[in-house]
Amino acid sequence: MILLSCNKTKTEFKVEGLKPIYVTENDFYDIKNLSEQKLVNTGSIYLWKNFFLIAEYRKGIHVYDRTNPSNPIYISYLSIPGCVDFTITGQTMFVDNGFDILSINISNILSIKLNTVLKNQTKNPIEKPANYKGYFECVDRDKGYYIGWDSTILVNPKCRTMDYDL
Amino acid sequence: MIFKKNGMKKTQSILLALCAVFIFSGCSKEGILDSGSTDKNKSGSITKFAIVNQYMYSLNSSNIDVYDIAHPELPVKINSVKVAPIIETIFSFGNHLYVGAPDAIYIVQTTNPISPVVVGSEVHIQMGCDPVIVKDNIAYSTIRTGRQCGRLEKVNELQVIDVRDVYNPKTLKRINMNYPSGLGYDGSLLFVCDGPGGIAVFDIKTPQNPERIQTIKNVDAVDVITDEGLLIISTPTEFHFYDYTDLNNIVLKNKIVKS
Repeated sequence: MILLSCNKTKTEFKVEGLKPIYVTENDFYDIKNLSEQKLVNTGSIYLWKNFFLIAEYRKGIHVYDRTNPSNPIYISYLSIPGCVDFTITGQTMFVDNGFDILSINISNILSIKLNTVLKNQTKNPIEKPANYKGYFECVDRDKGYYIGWDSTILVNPKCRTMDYDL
Repeated sequence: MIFKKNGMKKTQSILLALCAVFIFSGCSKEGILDSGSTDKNKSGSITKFAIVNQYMYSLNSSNIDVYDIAHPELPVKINSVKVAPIIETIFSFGNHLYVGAPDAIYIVQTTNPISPVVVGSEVHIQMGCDPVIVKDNIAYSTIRTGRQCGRLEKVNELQVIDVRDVYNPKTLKRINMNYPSGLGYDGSLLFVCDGPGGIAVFDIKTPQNPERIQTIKNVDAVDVITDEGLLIISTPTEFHFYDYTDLNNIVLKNKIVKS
């Protein structure tokens, strides 16, 4: 037993875990409507006009038509890489994408348009995967724009979530 | 300037009643109508944004960032004010922002909207997660511990806080809950998402003394929006729509299920 644990500390520590997915700057600011996407890791909920919106963490926003309020119908998906949270005033949506504040024209929710990017507004102290307990590769902003997590085998990972993060 | 459409009349009548009762406390009708935004916009209670007139307040790590959104296509950051080491949720009511943090609720005055000032706080002894909402002179906040939300002591409760004196808020009551998180009100009804415990419905006709009158079961409720008799609930895996026009017979009308 003692020998085994000594060996372990000398060799590389390999473990299943998560690594950040990085995208290029162009892809990160490619704000557009897409057809229906799966609800996977949802966040904030919001009512605006006849629409019910659900944030998809780090990815975008699902849009439902709720002309019949108790029977919402999926009408569009807003692909907004990095999307953490959002709010709306008038015909404009503001999004925190983990780095910047975006202003998006949603006067036609089926054809949204990016107005402005206010760069480098948010300091997220520790980037960590949600709903996850275990090791992960630490996020390195120098590697690009991070938008999510992939499964991988990690070698000597330095980051770890100690408890479920819901 | 237009208050959220839902409950506007109710809010006005409650306001008038409360102004009559608390006239000495400086209860300001126009202050309350100032909050909220145009259109029928409603967020859940777990949010990092608040819009008040032409200003947007955005939680950013330990600060509230202030943006001038008079021209929303071109927001301008005009200030950033430190509140606490970690801040999590924000709710605007009257001339104040109520900020939920793991260690306390902070009350931030926006009499000068471009220069928010922290005026008061109500410190929890325990570390916990805690959205906060405010109705008139009473704040309702949930504290939950366990999972990622603090580990010092297991506390899961709804706190009722007197915020009439924003410089010196006082916890009036602590009500035991299961694993509470988001909360919202409609008139004299307070809905508290209680995780696996479902949704607790309180009568808040006497705002400082919520009376639990109903529980919606079989739902792992996380956050809530009330909308004219319709309750929208988020859970870790689903979204539920309940008709609560008859409190004795709250009906699940629909679900959105994650695939």
